[in-house]
Amino acid sequence: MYLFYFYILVCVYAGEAQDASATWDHVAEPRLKLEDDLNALERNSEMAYTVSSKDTFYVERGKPFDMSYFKTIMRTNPDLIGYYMKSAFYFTASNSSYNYRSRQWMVPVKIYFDKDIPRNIKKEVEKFYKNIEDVPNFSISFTNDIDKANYQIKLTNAIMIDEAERYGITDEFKARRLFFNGCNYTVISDGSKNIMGCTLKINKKELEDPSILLSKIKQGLFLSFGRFFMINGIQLNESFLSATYENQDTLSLVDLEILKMHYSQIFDESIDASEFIQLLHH
Amino acid sequence: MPNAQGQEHEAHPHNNMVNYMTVQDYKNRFQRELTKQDSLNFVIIKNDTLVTLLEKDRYKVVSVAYEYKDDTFLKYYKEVAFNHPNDSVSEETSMKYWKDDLKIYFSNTVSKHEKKSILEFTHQISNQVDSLSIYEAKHIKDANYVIYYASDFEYDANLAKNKDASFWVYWNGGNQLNKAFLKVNDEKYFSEALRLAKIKTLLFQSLGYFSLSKEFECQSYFSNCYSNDKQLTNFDFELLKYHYSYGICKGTSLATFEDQHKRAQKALKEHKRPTYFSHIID
Repeated sequence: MYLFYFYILVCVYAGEAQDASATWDHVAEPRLKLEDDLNALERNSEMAYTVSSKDTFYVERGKPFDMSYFKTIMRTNPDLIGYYMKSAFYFTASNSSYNYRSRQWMVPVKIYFDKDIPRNIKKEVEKFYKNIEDVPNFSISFTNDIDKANYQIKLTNAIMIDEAERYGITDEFKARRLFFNGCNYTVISDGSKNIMGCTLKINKKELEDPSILLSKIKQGLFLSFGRFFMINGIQLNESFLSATYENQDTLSLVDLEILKMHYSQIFDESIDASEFIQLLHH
Repeated sequence: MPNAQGQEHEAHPHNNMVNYMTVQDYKNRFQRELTKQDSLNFVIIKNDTLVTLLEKDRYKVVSVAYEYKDDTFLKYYKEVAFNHPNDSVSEETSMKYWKDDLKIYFSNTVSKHEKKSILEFTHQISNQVDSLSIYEAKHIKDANYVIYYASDFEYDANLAKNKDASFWVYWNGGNQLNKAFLKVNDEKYFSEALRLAKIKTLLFQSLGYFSLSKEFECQSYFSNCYSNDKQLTNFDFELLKYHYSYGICKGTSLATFEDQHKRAQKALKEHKRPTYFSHIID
């Protein structure tokens, strides 16, 4: 005799309301691809499968993170790795009270300029950033259609906090040139703390001095390309990582290498300095 | 008795079956105390005392055969369907689902083009997923879902302080979602491309108050990362279809969900026949 059980669904939970955010424990591993077509997978790793009512899905973990570019730089120019870690993680790690994680753009950057920004400034910025075309996994372009952009450079009347003191700048001329004096930027993050958009805000007073305005837009763009921090005391005034950056016609080699390192491997889930070191020594 | 009715049940599951319910569930559902007369219809199965439902209680019941899924599938399903508060896994966490159609009202600030794109997205979902129907409500009085921007009227006080983008969902005692508000800060999400990407991600998440995964590749709507190539993958549909399948009890806690699977899989293995899940139709 078979006995069949018939369950009745009866719901007895108290009504509630809840906000949207929710995530899992962090795993610094490549993500999973789930496909019902085996040919769509690269079959580069251990494969599991799952059976549904009709179809079979194959599960494949992405390729292991490739840290070879970082390793090469560590061997040939360890100072650069130091600069990178300071600018990407700002001296923090998993045991810090606040832990800064890496921030990468997950999509090509499409920049829209406020109509009131002088055309020659815009052209200069475009020209300046042409030489980053050889940075893998990262690209920028410019658009006149704001609805297609994910990055806007916007003029505002809002007063920005003068951060000269924070960066130990007492010289008035240098303080005037500090990016975070009259400008700031805000990134839009996805659920993994990577970047999907950005607004760079510039106080309209900056229009008074086109050379400073140009310098600040170039520096602000660079910093927001990886939410890079300026490094106090860095003796490289040609680098955007310096609070006392002196305007250059081309991107410095240090900055170019920082960008190349940062985008040499895309981490679908942002990582912190502790995970970075683990991966580097793996 | 159970044998004969069980065999009949395979051919006509709705007509000639006996339904049982635990005593507690019965009290909750029918809001009355059980009498001595009722106790004559009690059945003891293992350690559970079950009430045999009378004809008058049974007419609104539909039964669906257990939908088998393997452990890998269930692992992924549980990770997205049971959205644990504060990332702390709890057996008490329940899955949530929409019982009624989603009737979306778009505030005036949402452009026609944006509305069209969102409705194309929801149409794709409605077409593929049984028991989930989404369409536009022209008047707010007919809606149970509102999509609006921060520059507009504040439709839900719970989202008043949100400066980014989020949704707020409400559910009843049966963990049935019955009202939602989705708000995007259109100053921060300044372009149509950014707004649409965010709205679609949040709307999808609100279809089951899902937890977004750190494991799935960014292409998937169940993933927590952004991608230019975001699309409803076949596996997304498979998970969503299962969420809205009645081959398992809906609105249950994680503990109940796991227990029901265990028992249904055991019955399937030992008796080679599926357990039927009966759902009360309001």
